[in-house]
Amino acid sequence: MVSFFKNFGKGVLYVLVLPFLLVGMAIYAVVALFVFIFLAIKGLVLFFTGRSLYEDLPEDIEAKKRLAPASATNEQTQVTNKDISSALNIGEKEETKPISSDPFYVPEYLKSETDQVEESIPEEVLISETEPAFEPEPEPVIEETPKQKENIIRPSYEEEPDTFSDEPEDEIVLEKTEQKSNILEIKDDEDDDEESSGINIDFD
Amino acid sequence: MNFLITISENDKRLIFALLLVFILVFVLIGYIGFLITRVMKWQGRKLDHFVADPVITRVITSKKHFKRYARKKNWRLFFKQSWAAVVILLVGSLVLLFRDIFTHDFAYNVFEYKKTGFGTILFIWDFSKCITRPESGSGLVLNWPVLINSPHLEGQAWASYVFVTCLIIGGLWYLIALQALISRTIRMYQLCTSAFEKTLEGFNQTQQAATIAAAKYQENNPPSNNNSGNINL
Repeated sequence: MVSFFKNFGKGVLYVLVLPFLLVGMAIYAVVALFVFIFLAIKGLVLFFTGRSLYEDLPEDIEAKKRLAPASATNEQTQVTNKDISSALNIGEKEETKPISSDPFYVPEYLKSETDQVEESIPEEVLISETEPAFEPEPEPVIEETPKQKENIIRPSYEEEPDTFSDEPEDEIVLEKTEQKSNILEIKDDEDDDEESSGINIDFD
Repeated sequence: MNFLITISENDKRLIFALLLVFILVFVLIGYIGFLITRVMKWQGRKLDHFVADPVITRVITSKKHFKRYARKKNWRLFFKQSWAAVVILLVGSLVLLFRDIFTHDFAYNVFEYKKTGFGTILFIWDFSKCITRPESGSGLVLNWPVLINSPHLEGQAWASYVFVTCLIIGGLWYLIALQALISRTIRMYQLCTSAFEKTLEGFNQTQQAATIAAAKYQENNPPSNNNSGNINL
């Protein structure tokens, strides 16, 4: 409701100010027409002298000069990021091909920086094509000396085996026992609450 | 004499309806004004695109320089936007001029509605006989306006068709370009104050002096190492 009356007030204000706005706009239109004619003549003259009305002002040229190093740095950063992403196979699937089969591949823009490094690397670096198969070293066998054998303390249940015999030590006797029923038996209707430690709830 | 006006129930209803219509009309005007303001703000922001680089790179460092540069850019943009409109207006005017020269009719009414003007393709009503006074009796009689012309094409009115069409299209185009020019000019003055403003809002000289003094004191007297006393060599 408040915005409704605000709009009403604005509407009244616009109606009151409208004549002045229109007069101002008419004056501006006439001035703009004169400026338009002036610019048209200037544009024609510039056209016949091989220049354009829309060419850069001195301020624009200076600003472009100042912005050029920054934009070049940005472009180089973008290129570096692209190379890294392609090397890591990030991004488009079409660019998953290796850049070069050369293991010492250096991008063009980095070559000037890495010339010294390349020179320092000897040319005849032989790398065997197939590496030898991995063979794990055998574990060392530790043999107990007779003295160590004597000193070994064994637990009580583990007796030192004397000899191995085929006969069983104890005879197994099958005893007849009562067969347990699978049905649960209900002992009594007695309340076990007194024995248990549960909470006694009385409904009285 | 009785000066009091007696209002019947019907009159009250009529007054209420008229008041409502009156309020609604002004609210509508308010909304239209709001819309125009929004459009002008949008048009004004285009200036930022053209003046941003020299200001950001500090090629322009003063209000005066900024005004001179922005004004040049503003007029150039106006020329770029309005040249087509002016060409359309010129073509329409030339057509009318040649028609007048060839027919030797310099008193030609472009908006005539019977045979030669643009009014031939418009509905024309006669509103002069809407309110009449009856011959006998008092009061006023309200009548419907009389239709005096239905749209029809006339061969003799071709020049007016071309001229008025060009006038409407070119005129509206030019007005929109002019509105954009005014919007950018307003924006230019706004940027003058905001981009090169040296404000002391929230600045306290005493506080700043105290901060500088504290910093200098810390610089001259670095804090002692608390652990140095516990080391026994």
